[in-house]
Amino acid sequence: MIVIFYCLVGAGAIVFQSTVSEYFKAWLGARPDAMTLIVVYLGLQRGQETGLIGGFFLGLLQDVLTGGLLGANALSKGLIGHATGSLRRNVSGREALFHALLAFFASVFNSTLMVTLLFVFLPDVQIHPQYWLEAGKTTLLNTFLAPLLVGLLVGAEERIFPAAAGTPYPERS
Amino acid sequence: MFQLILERRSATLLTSLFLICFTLMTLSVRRQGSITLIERGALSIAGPLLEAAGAPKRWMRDLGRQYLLLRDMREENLVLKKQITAMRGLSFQLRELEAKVRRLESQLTASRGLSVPVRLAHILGQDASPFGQTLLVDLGTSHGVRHGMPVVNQAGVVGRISRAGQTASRVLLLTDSRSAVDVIVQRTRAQGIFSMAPGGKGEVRYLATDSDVQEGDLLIASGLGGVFPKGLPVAWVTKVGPKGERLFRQVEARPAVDFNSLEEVLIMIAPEQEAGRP
Repeated sequence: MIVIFYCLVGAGAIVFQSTVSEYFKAWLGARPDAMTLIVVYLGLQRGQETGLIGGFFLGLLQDVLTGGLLGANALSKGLIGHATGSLRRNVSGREALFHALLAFFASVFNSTLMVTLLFVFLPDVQIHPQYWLEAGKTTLLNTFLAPLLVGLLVGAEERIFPAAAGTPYPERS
Repeated sequence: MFQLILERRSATLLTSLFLICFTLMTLSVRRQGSITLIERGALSIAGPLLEAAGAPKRWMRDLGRQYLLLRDMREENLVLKKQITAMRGLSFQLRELEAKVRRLESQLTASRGLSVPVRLAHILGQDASPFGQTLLVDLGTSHGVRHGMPVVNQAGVVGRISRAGQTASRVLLLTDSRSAVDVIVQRTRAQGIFSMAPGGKGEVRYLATDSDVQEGDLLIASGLGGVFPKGLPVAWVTKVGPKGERLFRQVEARPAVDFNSLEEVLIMIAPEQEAGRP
């Protein structure tokens, strides 16, 4: 059942990314990366393997939907999921600040890796300075939205699946 | 081998991730422009999802458009209502103008049949006094109007100028008891004098008792009074008394002009009167 829940969360992220984030783009000039936040959430809740697999598929969907370099987001999100899942072993925390920091570093890593992969696979493509500005805004948006979104999802998971929720956290395992 | 993979599952997954992603990226770069199987599959999955997700957005957009449309329609409706009100006013004005043009046309037609020059005068006011039937018109001595000039319209005799001011004049109407016009019966040429009786009815006096008069006969000015040119319609005979009962025949008549709907009149500027009759 929890798999269905995560699938729904992933679907919700796709929907959010394709619809609601447009309003952020209109208001603030950049849109949050809901996929990154969901991958952070998945990694935190389910560990590095689920984070990696979930991140891979969500990233792949994002690649297809955005029409960019196929596999770039899949790799980035997979790595983020894996890294976040690894962190939970060592870091005990469910605080908003922790989520915000994770989202911040994940977003910075995502942007940097994207540029690096573009340099490697598509050297002819020029990276416009505007990209960095947008990437910076996206990072900030993710940082601010992460506590809200991750907290909301964790809360929902705990309510719907009280037995399974949060088991990866060390203090409750 | 499998045991090793299971033991190092995380590392295996990570390696697989790199392998798959780099393969995908390589394929993506090499086959730019063509859609891969993975892309097709992912699009097939995400397409309906996005379609469904886009539905509320479309509904909201449509709702917004409908709202804007309704708001615009309401504003347009208000503007159109105002325009209709203005158009109604304009329509009334046009009808009024049309009526005026018709009246003036008939006045013009009437004036063409007259032997003397005429001037069109607009009625400024009517004397509401019960003692006199007069009109105030917008032409005076500065326009060549003099005392005693006949005033007519397309239907017949209206009256005569009783006082001529600089820019306005007073017209003594035919319906005033002080007015009297020498008339003849158009059909038989029998002569009499038309005036208004104190009761408000028109009568023809001094008509010979054996004269041939019938109801519906037209009385025209005889030209003998020196004011109204001969041939102008004055009144219609409405009632005729029996012959031989009295010295003069009793005949009632109503003026040819409808005094209730007068708006413009023609003042006959007779040269001899223009010359200096007081």
